[in-house]
Amino acid sequence: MSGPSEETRTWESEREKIIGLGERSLRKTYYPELQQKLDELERFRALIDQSNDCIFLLHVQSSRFIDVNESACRELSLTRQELLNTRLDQIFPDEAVSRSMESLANGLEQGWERDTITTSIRRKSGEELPVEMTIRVVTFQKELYGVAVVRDITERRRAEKVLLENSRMLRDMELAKQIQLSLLPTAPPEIPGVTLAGYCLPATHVGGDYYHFSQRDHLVDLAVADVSGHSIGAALMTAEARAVLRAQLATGSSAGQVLTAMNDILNEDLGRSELFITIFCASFNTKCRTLTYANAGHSPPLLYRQRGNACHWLDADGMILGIRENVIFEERQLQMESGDLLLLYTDGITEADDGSGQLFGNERLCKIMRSCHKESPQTIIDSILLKVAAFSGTIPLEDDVTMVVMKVE
Amino acid sequence: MAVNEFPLRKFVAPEFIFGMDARTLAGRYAKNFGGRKVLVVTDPGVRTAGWSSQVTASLEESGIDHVTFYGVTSNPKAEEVAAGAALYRREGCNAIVAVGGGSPMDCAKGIGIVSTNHGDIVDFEGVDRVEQSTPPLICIPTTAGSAADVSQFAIITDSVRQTKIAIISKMIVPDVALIDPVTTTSLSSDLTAQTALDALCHGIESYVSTAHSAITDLYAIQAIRAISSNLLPTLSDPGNLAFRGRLMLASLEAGLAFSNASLGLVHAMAHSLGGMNDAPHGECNALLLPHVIDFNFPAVPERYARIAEALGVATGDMAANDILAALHSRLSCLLHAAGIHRPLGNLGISRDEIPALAGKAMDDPCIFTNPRQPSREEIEAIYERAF
Repeated sequence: MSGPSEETRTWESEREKIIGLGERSLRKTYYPELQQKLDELERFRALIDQSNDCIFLLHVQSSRFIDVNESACRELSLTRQELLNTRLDQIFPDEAVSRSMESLANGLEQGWERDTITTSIRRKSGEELPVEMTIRVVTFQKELYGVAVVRDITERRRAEKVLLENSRMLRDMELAKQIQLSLLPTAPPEIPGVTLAGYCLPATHVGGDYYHFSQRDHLVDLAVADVSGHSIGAALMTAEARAVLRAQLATGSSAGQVLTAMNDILNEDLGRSELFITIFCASFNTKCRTLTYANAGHSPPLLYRQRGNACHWLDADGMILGIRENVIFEERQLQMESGDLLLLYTDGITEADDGSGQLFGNERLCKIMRSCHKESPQTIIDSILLKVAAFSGTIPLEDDVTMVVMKVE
Repeated sequence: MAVNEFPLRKFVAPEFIFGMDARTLAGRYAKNFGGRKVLVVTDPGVRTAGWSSQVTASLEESGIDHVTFYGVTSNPKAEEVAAGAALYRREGCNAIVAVGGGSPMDCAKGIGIVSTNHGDIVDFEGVDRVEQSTPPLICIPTTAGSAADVSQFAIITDSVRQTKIAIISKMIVPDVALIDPVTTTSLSSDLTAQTALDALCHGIESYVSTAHSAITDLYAIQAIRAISSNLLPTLSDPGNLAFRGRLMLASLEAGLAFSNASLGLVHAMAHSLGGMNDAPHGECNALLLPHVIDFNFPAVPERYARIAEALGVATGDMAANDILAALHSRLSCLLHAAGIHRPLGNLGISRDEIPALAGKAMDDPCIFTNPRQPSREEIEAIYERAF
């Protein structure tokens, strides 16, 4: 006997299903769907709670919070329940409350979608926190709700302030730079018997370098100074040192006397501000071509003598300014000849490094002098700058750079 | 030892409230089910009778928004379901109240299915094809017949294929049926007869169904008995609420029986007919019933004997053939007296269509619980005899 036909088997299985014994025979139940929605809600809740912004759901008519996220509780140092029982005006300033409620009340009719208010929130401790609040109006089941997203803008405020201060500072520094540059000699004086050129470039806005040249009868006074550091303090001290230098030169003092006087006058200020000055000061007599000089710890200037095509370093005993009072500076004198060059400079030149720790040094400087000694002082300065820049590979240079070149005719 | 007396059976019934003015509870139930905006599904006849406006008034009393969908015809069409579902979505509804006979209720079930499961209603044809729970559905029947308010069936006409599809799923058993005999007082005598005979077929077919159970038997026999003794009195005294109530109760009982035991060849063949020519469902059933009994009788003669007794035939110690003859004659008298006596040919069917009708009947899920498995030729022969 054969088994039941296919048709009979279909009948049998369909009948089983109709009776309700099928795998999927299930009365209507919303529980699986509810469970799924609850899971979704839980995930969504995590999303909302993990937001850095504080989120409040406000029932407009009763002006009560209906829901708040964890960030809101954390920022306000309140438990969720405490926060839900808190009135709007206990957290927000009055003007923010009235503006929000007005926006929410009129919002829908006026086609308004959202409003952003910069205000503050009050913590339980009374501390005020600057915030930006964005409010949107939404309708659930015919009831109006406001969704307020509140963002702590303390950090933003701080950053804005810093940015503002920086730009203000930058402006001030630029101004200081202009003032400082204006304190330098505008152009070399035209003096029979010598040609002069000067150059000074602070590495940052203001620097501690300074140079000077001026004429007293047949004397040409020259000086180059370097106040330690590139700070505003150094710049101010430079200005002060300049004034003292000029005043001392005006008294007719010799180079050594000028340095002694400067040290006595500036010592206290330098000590207080923990700054030092190195300065080289010289007077050249255009009649007899004698150079009288004294040095307060400054890099020894380079004397190029055409005769012999050689470099000499002019040193003289003397302590840097600002160490102690009553310092006597050795004063030396030498004879110069036509074609000789005197180069005063700051350590920005000789201590420029090539990135591998090697310094520009005296030898390179001397080489330039030997090859360029026929050129004008300005051309010599330009050549030195070019070589130094090529050597260090950095423009601008890392240190203040100052040079004075005097050529004896 | 196998105990054949207790095969596995399931019984599913919705909560139902039966009694005078049950319809007025619509608002309360809609509210308790979480209804916010209700789609009321009804048809123009019910609207004219005023039942749908009474239901919407009840919704308003409970503060529930509503929108009404009237676009339902008898033998509801797939496109009507789609239109209703579109309205449901557009209006943001979340619950459905059906007010009417089998057509609005089946359409409402279809709208519920499409609104949560998406797609086209014809995609859900068959058994247990509905995956997602449908929105809360409250049914307020206004006929004593279809019992769609308690059943797991929805019959929708696919106009493209000109066929009725059966959707059978416990998911579409309504959440509550508010069964109010008062609503049947507006029925014409034709509709009263057609719907009551539909209920009678439900009782008879579920009683002989191969999926019947002790519980469905109780309801089926009681329904047959009540319809047999109350149909003609109701037709002669249509305003009598006692008669109306008894028919309504019988319809409920028949519904509880057939929803769980399912039906048989009469409904399979009637669905085929209704799909082709939009003929009244109750009338199709009634016209086919005696001929199907002739075919089925040999399979379960004892059960037909109980049916004959419930119809008032004193079977005593009658031979099986005599019982069949007596049953046949009793039914013919009842149908005739109820005004259902046109032959099938008068319903706008031609004999040429019989093979196609038989083919569709073979595919109808109601056939699977028929006590005797017919061949296609046997179904064609039954249609022939009904002509």
